Amino acid sequence: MSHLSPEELLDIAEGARPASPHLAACEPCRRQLHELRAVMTSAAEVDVPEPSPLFWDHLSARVREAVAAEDLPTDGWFSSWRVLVPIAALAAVVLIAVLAATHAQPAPSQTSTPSVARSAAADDRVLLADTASDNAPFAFVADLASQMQMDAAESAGLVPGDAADHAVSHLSDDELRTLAELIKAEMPAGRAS
Amino acid sequence: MPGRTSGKGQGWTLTVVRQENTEVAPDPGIGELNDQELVAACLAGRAGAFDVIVERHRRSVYQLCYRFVGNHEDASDLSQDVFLRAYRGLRNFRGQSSLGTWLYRIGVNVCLNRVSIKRPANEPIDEHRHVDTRNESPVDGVLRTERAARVRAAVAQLPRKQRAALVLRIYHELSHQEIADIVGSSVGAVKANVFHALQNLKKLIDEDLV
Repeated sequence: MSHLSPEELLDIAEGARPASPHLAACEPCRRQLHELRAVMTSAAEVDVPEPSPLFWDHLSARVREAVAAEDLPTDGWFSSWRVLVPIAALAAVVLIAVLAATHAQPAPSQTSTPSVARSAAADDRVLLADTASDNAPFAFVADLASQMQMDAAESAGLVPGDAADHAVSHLSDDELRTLAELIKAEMPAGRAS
Repeated sequence: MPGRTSGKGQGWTLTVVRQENTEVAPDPGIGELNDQELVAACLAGRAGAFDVIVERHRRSVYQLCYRFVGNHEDASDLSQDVFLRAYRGLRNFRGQSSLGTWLYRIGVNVCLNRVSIKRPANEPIDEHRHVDTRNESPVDGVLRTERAARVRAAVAQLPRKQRAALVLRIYHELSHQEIADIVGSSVGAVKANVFHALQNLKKLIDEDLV
């Protein structure tokens, strides 16, 4: 004689299935069903001990403190903008260094590389020459970075004061050439990262 | 009352600055929002929204965790962890299930993956073994109140999947389908786990009585 399956017994015990005619003829299955129901009843009657009334507010306070240490989840363009600007600035630094390496001239009398020029104006904006007009991603990043005043970015805390871009933007032409030579020595000529 | 007080001593100056309470007061009426609206309010940065979520669900989350570990300290730590993970994953809540079910899913995962500091007194049962009493002599009826502590301890000793299925079914009255969605298995597997959990629970209780 085949007995009822565990699923069948459980369904009958939970009342999700009517009692099977098999039970009338099978004492072991009737016994197991009885035990199943007894354990279910016994388990269901056991409550969780109630903690101190102060516990709940304490738990909420602990969660609040933990959450306060996390960034607030926000939607919208602002959160992505705060990520985009420093990434764009960093990408601009990398591209500046690479272009300096690919376009740097050995003649010491030259005062600037074609790809980087310091503004003659009093402000500290770094102007990026359009030397890679066929490089659309570079052009986009260059345009984005050129609109960001470094001091404004630093004061807003978007760019650390000791960031590489700050250092590069304050290099003299001789220092830029040295940097370009160092990068050129490490990278294949003409390749941009 | 001045916000700043200074005092001088020999070679030193002490300045005490009273800091204003910078906690943001919760939006009025935020307690009246339903769970879906509260999630949206959290993501919008409305003050106090997540506090309300915690307040509404902290008891059920705590009870779920307690059923898993069988002690207050671990249940408290796990509850905090559940809500922190929920906060981090709020963007992932799509509203396809209730927020409570979603929290249960997080809670089950947290509890199943957490190594409890306080281990149960006995070794857990081999999850592949269960007791078949159909060919054994009948067992006396269960004494309810006197076995409460033993039942809790026994539940905490069950294999993890059986424990999860049993806790969610017996104590939180979730359907087999809801449990299957939470633990990532089938209805049949959930029913099998519940069945074997009950069998093993009986065995643990009976052993404790001997």
